[in-house]
Amino acid sequence: MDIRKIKKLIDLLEESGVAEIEIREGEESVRISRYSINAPAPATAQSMLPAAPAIAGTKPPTPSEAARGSDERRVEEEPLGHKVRSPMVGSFYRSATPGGKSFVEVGNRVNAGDTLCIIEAMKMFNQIEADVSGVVKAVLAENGDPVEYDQPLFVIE
Amino acid sequence: MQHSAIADSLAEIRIREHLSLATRGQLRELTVLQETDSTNSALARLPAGRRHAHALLAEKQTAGRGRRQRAWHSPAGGNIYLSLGWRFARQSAALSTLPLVAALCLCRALERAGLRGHGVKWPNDILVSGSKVAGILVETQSTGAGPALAIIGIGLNVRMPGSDADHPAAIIDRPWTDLASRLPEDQRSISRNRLVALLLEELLAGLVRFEAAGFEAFQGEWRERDLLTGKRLRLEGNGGFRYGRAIGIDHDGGLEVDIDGYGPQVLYAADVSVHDD
Repeated sequence: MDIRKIKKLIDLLEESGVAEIEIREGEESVRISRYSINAPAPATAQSMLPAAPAIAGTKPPTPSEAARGSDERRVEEEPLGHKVRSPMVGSFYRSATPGGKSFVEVGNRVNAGDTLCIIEAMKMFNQIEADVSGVVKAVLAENGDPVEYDQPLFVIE
Repeated sequence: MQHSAIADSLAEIRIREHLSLATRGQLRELTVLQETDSTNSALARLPAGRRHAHALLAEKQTAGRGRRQRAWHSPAGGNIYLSLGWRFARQSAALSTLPLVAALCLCRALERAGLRGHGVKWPNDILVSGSKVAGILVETQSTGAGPALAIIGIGLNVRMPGSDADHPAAIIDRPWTDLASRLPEDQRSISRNRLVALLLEELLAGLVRFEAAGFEAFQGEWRERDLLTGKRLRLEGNGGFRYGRAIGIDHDGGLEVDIDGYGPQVLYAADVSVHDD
């Protein structure tokens, strides 16, 4: 994991008041805690009380930043096209109800304003709408996944 | 005396009669339906231009919702199911404390109706003596980067219909109560139209204050109405549970808990119940 990214995470944590963040990218994971506990919390803590989806004081991107995307993020094997990113930390859901029909599938045509997914954070349900019209080229997160701020969720072309 | 359900029907004109001029000016639309699946869903289905400052009520919900998967028991005739749409200048990620603000507004409205001894169980339930009288479900719609429209849904048990009230355990899986049975006797006959007006007054005033000053403006009131701080809690998540003691909430509305064996943590997602030592 890029050291600049870790530095950025530490800064985010400092600003936010969130106790702890854990980020996983493929095989690598990093957990940053504000509290000086010598021993890391036992692994069971994670499964019993999932790492707090930290809505936190992460600064929302300006529209231009969001459109430009982040240069630091080198995600491979993503189809080219417009990326719809998560505006917050939370849980990603593809349907309105558990087991219900997905809002969109790969290959679907969507119009700007159509609902793509729901992100649950703080017991609040946030419908994320397409900001462009086009065809859904990829869905980059699994139903129920925890997602991070600015994580790409969909590719629309 | 039997309360007349007909005399207490929800009606736009009756609700408006009880509204202050300021609130009438803020509210763009008021709709009362006899029946709908869920007032939040009904409001969300309206054309985009009609959701902001629109209060939508129904006498009955056929698919009243709490959190994902949880039903909100919504029989006809005695309760309040209300959704209010509000477009914020800020993004959905900056609305994490909105459910808490809505809960405080609801508490104020209930106090004006004569209720005492109620408070908020983080993040969005209103309890009287340990029993739930009202719940809140906030949903937002946005592109993420753009301004968010919030739909604040409120279910308030006012007078749970008799047959349901006799067999609550079969229908509702948690301790619950209704407002009328908790009010002083001389205030029990309060009309639902008046209650809706009180809710709208407090909600609209609260939303304007929240938009202008953020959750900071509500911190003091939260501490007064918060039912969890200092309490022993049972925390549930992902099929497991832990115990801890509530410390308070952080500025994003997360619950700070001193978890046994782990120390202070901020929680955003666990199910919380008060655990008596």
